[in-house]
Amino acid sequence: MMPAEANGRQYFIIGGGGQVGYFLTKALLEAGHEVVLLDKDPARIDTLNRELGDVVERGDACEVSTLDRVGAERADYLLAVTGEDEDNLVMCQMAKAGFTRSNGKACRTIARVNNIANIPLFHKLGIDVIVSPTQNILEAIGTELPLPQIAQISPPDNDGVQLIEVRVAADAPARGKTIESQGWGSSVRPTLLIRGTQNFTPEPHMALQPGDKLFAVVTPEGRSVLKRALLGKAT
Amino acid sequence: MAKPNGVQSVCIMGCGRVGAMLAEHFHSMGYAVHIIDVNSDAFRRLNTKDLRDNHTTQGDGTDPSVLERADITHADIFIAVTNGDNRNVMAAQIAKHQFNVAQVICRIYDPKRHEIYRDKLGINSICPTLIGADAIFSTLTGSPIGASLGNGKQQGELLS
Repeated sequence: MMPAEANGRQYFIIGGGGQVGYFLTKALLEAGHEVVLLDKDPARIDTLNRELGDVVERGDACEVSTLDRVGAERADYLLAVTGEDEDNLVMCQMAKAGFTRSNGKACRTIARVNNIANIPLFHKLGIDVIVSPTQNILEAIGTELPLPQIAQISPPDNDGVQLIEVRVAADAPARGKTIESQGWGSSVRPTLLIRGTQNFTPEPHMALQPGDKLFAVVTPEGRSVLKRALLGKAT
Repeated sequence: MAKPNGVQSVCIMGCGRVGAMLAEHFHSMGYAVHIIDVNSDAFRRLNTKDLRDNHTTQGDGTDPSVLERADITHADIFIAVTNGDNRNVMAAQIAKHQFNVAQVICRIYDPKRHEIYRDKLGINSICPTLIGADAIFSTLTGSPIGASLGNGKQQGELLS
């Protein structure tokens, strides 16, 4: 999972001592890694230190002086797991832009992102790994429940391009019309059509029917276009 | 973005003293102004009724959909002046990288954070801490704070 140093022991700085930060610290310590957990709330720090041993420091991980104090220049990973997207973004950017490690590489940054609309921005700004509980739960809903008419199959990439699945509604404007007559342009690239138990490679001449499941690679605009065309008036 | 009527548009995040003052000023200069705040009470700081009634958006400016409601897609200028450094710099980066706003500026109180965003991450920011300290120091000593910090010794004498 992690690039091994001499003995595989890595140094992690964790920003945010909530539940996620707590369990991460615990798990990483048990795995033999070096961890410092940063939080701003003295009462919370006391609780955490009692549970975890003295690995919790009081400080704002968005401040260069705090990161410096805990040795950010030798950190292998910064894990930004507060509940605030803006704090997570800034601590990652500070750790990357504010410090150079002796091997010349910036530390790897992993950020928790709550607002899924911000995922493309985090990608674009060079955050190495993005974890979005909201996104994960939405995806789980998409695969668990039979009813939702639109599901994200892959998270958006840097440009917001993603694979989605849309179920053609009974009253969809696009129903009964061929794919080529939809006028979707390059923002929607149909890749798979599932009708009942059969699946097809979408061909331009194929007409869409209510109940069809269309998988398509879409840009953010394409996603809106597809929603308008395939979802019913009720949505 | 095309400007059919040639009117310049400015989107301001944070209706505190600075945000409200900028909104009033740009409004009086004929700009199309949109001002955002999480707290709708903040809009009381706007003196102009037209601004208060027609040009405010309540919401969190670090959410792209709130920025869209404040017409950021047509903005020529985006200004982030909430009290949170991180909120400001995140919204500024959304405006710059996601909505391609031509001129983006944000306020960062922390001098170190300001320096890194300005020098390494290409974000146009101003730091009131540096400006304020410098103004006070130079009023008292007659020389800028940078001069004494730069070579490690006081250059001016405190005026008594």
